[in-house]
Amino acid sequence: MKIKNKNYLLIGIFLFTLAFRLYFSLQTNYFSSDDAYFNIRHTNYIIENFKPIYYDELSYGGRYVLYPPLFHYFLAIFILIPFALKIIPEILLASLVFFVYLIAKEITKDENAALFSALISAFIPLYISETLNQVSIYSIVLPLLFYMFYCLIKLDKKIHVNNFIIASFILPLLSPIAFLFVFSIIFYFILTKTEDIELSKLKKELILFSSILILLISFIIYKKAFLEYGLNLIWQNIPFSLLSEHFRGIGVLELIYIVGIIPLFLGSIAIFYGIFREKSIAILLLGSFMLMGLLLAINGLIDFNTGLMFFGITASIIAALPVHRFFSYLKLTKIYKYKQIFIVAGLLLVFILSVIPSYDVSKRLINNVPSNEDIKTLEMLRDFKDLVVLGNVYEGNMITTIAGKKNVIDNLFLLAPKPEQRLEDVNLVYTTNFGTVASEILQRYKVGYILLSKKTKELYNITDLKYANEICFKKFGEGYQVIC
Amino acid sequence: MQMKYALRNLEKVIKLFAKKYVLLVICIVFLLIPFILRFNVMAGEDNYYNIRIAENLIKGIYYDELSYSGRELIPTLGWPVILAIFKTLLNIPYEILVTMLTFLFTALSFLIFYSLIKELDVNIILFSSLFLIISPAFLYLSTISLSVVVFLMLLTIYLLSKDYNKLSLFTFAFIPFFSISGTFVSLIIVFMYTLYIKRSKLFSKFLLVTLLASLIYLPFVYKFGLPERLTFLMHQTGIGFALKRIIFDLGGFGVATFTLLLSFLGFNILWEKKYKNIVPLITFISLIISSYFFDIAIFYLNFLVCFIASYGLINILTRKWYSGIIKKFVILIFVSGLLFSSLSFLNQFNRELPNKDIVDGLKHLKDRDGVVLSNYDRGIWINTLSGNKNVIDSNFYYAPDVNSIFENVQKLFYTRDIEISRWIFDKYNIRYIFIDNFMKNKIWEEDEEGLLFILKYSKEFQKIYSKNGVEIWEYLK
Repeated sequence: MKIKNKNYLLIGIFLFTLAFRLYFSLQTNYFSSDDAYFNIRHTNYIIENFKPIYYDELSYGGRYVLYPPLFHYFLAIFILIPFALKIIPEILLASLVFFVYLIAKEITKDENAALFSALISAFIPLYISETLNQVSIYSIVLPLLFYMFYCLIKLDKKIHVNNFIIASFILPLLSPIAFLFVFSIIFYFILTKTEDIELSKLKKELILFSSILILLISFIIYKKAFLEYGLNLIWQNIPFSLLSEHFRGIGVLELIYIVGIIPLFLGSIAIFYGIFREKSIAILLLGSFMLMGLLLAINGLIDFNTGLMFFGITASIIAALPVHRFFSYLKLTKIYKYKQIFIVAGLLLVFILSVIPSYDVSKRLINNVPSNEDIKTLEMLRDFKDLVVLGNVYEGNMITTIAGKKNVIDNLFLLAPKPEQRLEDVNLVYTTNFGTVASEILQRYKVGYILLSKKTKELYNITDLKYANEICFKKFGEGYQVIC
Repeated sequence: MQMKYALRNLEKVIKLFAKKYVLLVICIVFLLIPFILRFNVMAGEDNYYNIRIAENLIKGIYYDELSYSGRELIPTLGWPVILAIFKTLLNIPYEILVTMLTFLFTALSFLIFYSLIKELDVNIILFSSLFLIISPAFLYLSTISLSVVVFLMLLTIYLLSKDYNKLSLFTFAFIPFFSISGTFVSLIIVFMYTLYIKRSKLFSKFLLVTLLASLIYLPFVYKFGLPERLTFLMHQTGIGFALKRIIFDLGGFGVATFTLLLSFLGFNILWEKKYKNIVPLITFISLIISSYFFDIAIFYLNFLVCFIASYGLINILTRKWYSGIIKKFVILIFVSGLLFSSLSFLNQFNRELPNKDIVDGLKHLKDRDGVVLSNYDRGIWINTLSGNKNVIDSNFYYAPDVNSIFENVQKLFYTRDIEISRWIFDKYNIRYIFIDNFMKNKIWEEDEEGLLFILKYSKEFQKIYSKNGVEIWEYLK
């Protein structure tokens, strides 16, 4: 079978993206986010016990954990492959270009424009910073989510209907972000009503099916949390001081910087052209998803960066529409014979405005992994018995995974015991001038070791604990042992 | 051919199950489950309060000596009077009596609901009834005294539908004896119903009867005036709280999510006839708004939602689907969702407080005499189970000096100052302090916060009971 040139190009984009990601992620043995360590520990637990952790004895000194476990089962399959946790997520993330290409091609019927979308979607700075070297859940959620959109757009084949049904089962078992999908398709449904666009019967049925299925599975998984928090569950029990970071407005310049000017500019044109001029059902669907992601992110209902990441990727997909329109128009003019110049100029722009900022973000991300000294310290702590380690909120999972010890706090707040109080206490331990104040807190949580990592020093803008020379604290590795 | 045969069989099954007695048996079986689960210890506060007041009425005591260390009886005494009458007649333990009566009134409510819809399509009858039987709000209703209000309300509507206007007025006149809020919400429903059956002039008679029946409150209001305005929040506010109250799966005891979703589909169908069905829609909206303020509205809403939801399900079953497999999945998801809510309710109800540990702890105080301090939501249990006075309980309206007591109790919970504590202990003559694990987690953030610190380190307090997280301390003056 002859593979078309365009397919070679698409594979080329995939390989380029993969190489870019692996180049950075293989530079270090460690991971760039605390969530990675959470996923690693939960995957390892599944390998050893064949079941997920329900009661986590180490997190918060012992607490119930509510998290869809499918991703950890998935990772467990590959665990025997060397560097699996480094390579598999990056392959999955790079594979997103295929789904972007498929959707963009479906919208425009233009392979070149679709290739352009695939390329810019792979180099969104925020997408890189949120997923590179992080064993991120989004490595599987993003391809699946956009495949679902592809299926929903292209329902003429039975296989797409069946795959959409299967994916609707899988998505809520992977991540609570499935709710974003539900909100988006309901919003899309409402928009089609207001715009007087008739949806096919099958599409309506699939929207109903998918929404109620995701709702049911989420209710089953999060039942305990719903009972505990009610609708406040959407804030995930995040301490108020951290939640305020979620509620932030965003300026145009910041948006340009983190999403990239190309997807943003072309995406906006696509929304205008696709919805208001063409009344394109596909653009309406993706526009609903973009808008919902942005709205939920700005209102703090989902993580701000995650919301913008979805926004950026979707903008990249629909960016194919104005590109296609531009070249279609160009065809009607005399300058079409110089189209190669436009293509080269376009690629150059992508390189300057997307690839270089992404490279910069990746470099910073890799430099920001835990230091060798911090990791060594945590490894040394493995030899201690029944130790509680105090670290900052963004290092809790690293403590439980590498040191195998109980932490005081980590960033999984749902069902966590008194996270607000604990966060305040941890902040106080690192910033107080008085050993007595710290000792009282340390005794309360039975802390045996205070981790003073490079990141903690940066976070609290300190060089050392101010009460470190007191008799109760003994320097050990990158931190202090609490001895009385 | 096979398909036709299967459909005919299904019709036969539906007709069989839609019969009154079959559904009644199913209803009784489901209603028995909460009682079996809580065979030893009754859940909630409502029954404990009513049992104690009924006992007082039998003894001829018309003053509440234990609540807030002594207060006037609130004149909504309908349910305690019923309990007292039956107790005198049957002489069976209160726990069994309460269980029997709430069960009976709920089962009767179901029968009236059935009678109201029995002229409709057999599918509507079956699905409405089944939705109702397995709904968390209905199951919960069968365990509380409001079941009698719902019964009276449905009876009123039934009698109205049969043109027994005077009898319906007579039935309705009893509602004010049981619940003030119930009377208000019931009036809304009667208004809507008279509007629906195009006899709105009748409503003025209901209003008059309500006013006449409410005269029983007149001497009380004349003597004590209006209740003191509460300066503290009894519960959360806002849309999150409203949804939590209305939707069971968000943590309340309201309507099951999937029944609600089906009812939206049902309303969509009813809306095809536009303004012909505007009244049910307005009733639905009114009940949703009322649910924010009054518990009783949630139970009425549940009846309406279950009824409308049956239209939603029938629409799913009968409409032409593009994909047969999606249709099957959608039905399966709805059925699973409905069952999931019921099972969740039973699980939740089983864990409802008070548990055996709390009851045992309070019974330990039976032989002692003195005012017991605890959080307000333990006050009624303290009165009934230990027979002792409380400082505060959740019957806030007309409680003496309620704002000041609430403020002082909060101060006591959070202060480490022994002088302030001593002053409050002496002011309310507190002798015992009752604390359980659930209360500890709810009130205090830390193990040695406020009162917990004082109890631990002051020699003026002695722990006299400690078992399974329940602690009782004695204040040694």
